Amino acid sequence: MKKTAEQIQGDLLRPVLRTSWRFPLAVAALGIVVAAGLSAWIYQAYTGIGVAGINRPVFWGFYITNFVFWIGISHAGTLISAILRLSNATWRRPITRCAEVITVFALMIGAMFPLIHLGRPWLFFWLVPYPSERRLWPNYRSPLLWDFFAINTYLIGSLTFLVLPIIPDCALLRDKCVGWRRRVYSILSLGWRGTQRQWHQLETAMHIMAIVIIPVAVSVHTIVSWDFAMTLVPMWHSTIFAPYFVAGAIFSGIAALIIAMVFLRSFLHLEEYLNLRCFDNLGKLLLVMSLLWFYFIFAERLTTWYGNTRSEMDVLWLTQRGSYRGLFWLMVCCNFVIPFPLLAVKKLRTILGTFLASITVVIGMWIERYLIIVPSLSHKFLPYAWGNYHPTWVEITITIATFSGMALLYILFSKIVPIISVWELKAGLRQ
Amino acid sequence: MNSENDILVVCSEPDLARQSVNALLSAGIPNSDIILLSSEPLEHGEVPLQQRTLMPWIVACGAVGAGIGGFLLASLTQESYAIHTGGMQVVTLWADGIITYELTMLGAILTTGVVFLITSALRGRGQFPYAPEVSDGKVLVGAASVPASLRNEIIETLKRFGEIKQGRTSDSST
Repeated sequence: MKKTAEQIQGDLLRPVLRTSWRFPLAVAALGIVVAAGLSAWIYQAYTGIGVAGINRPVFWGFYITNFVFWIGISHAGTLISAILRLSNATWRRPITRCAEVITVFALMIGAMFPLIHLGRPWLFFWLVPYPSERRLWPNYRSPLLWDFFAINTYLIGSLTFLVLPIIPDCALLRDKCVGWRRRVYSILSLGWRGTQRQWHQLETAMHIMAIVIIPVAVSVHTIVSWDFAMTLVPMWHSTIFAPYFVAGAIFSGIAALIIAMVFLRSFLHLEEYLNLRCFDNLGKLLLVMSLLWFYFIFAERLTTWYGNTRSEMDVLWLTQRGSYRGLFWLMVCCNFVIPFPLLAVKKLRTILGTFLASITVVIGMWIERYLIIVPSLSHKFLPYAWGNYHPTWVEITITIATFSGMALLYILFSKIVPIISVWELKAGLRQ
Repeated sequence: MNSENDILVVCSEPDLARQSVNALLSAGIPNSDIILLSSEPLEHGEVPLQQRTLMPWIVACGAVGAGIGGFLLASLTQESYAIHTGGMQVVTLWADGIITYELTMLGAILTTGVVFLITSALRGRGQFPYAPEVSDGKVLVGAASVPASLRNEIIETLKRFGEIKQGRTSDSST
């Protein structure tokens, strides 16, 4: 039965206005894991980067894997929300804010890793463009500096894209709450009244942001890929890296969004809004990205194999037959073999099916980032420079803490602001 | 726009709001004096109020300005230090192009946010009347600063479309 505007409002405001016993429990549990990760980082900063497993020759390990992984996850929100807004796909309405929130928090977490990775994190400001004491500015030819500009631009853009449509919902909460909560939402609503001019300005701003944020999102992961492709390390110096990374980012982003939606619908009782239609459509998108991912990895490895250069072939066989073969074939299973039937067969493309496929994709994409980085660094051109990498408890703890941190931020956000946009859903009713 | 001479009606649905706006326009109330508040955007065809915005043009100017600034930041700072390169380029367009592109986009994003805040959200504080019924899905329609000679006619016209709230309504944000 179709819901009325009042029912929609009640359903979507309920998670914000009422608190169940599970909320403080979840916050406490996730908070403990996050605190453990923070402690590990403080221990590393105090003791020295040597407590991490990164060492000659593998100077990039878990931290850079996590950096690339989380920046990739951030592509969920922007691309899904922006592209679906521009194409006026009505089924997007319940999921846009879920997706935009993932973008912002994943970016914040991903952007922390270059700092975590620094042996002296208190010197991070050296990346900021300003002249040093010897009047030297940062090197604009470095992909690491391009990262600084790209990630900050994307973060500010995603925040703007998230915050603008939240304003009318904050105004709604202002009218529904009392006491200190009313004062807080009054501030957050910025004096919103709902005049026609305000609505027109908001929709124009959202339209502009949707157009601008798409090329920014593409450029961000392209520039991240250039951290690798601009070097001469075996199997890194490839022109396919830019689209390969962007496709992988969208792939992992959609999977992360599906996982978030499954938890939201069950814990916040939003089954009627995050329904089978949303999962079915996202499942189809995930299937397309799985095929695209397979195409890219096939094209990259075929080109490497055909070129038959010694150093690149060594790395190729190291991943497919050598010490990394377990991870490699697990990655292929997680990114293609398992998701493909779950998503391609309509009977299997259920909420559970898409959820299971998404879990395997997230695992597979993390492994893929690891396999791009570590094998190449461990086996460069000269045998004397070959080595191994073994992550330590510090890196593992921080990695696990970031997943908990993401979940914690998500839970806290859904407690402050409706995780599904109330005004957009009500507007969709009349359409 | 928020004065005791305003006449406001709370309409239960957008169709009644459209009819009341048409009635106000027919009674000679100019577009700029018509008040319309809703909890969701009303499509342009639903209510005949013209809305124009220069936001896209301002954003484009902001983007261009930021892009020029980005290029100057990269190129001028690269030339500011007399580094010896043996004839290789100091200012590289490929690399500086990336910085220029990112700052162009950042300029567009920041300009969008600032223009929106200035032209809609912040300006709205205290400037418009409000009714809490708006957040329950009702639409508030009204005429601002109605001359005394037209007040009775406007009130009689608007009574057909909903509950009349004359003058200042409760401002729920204060």
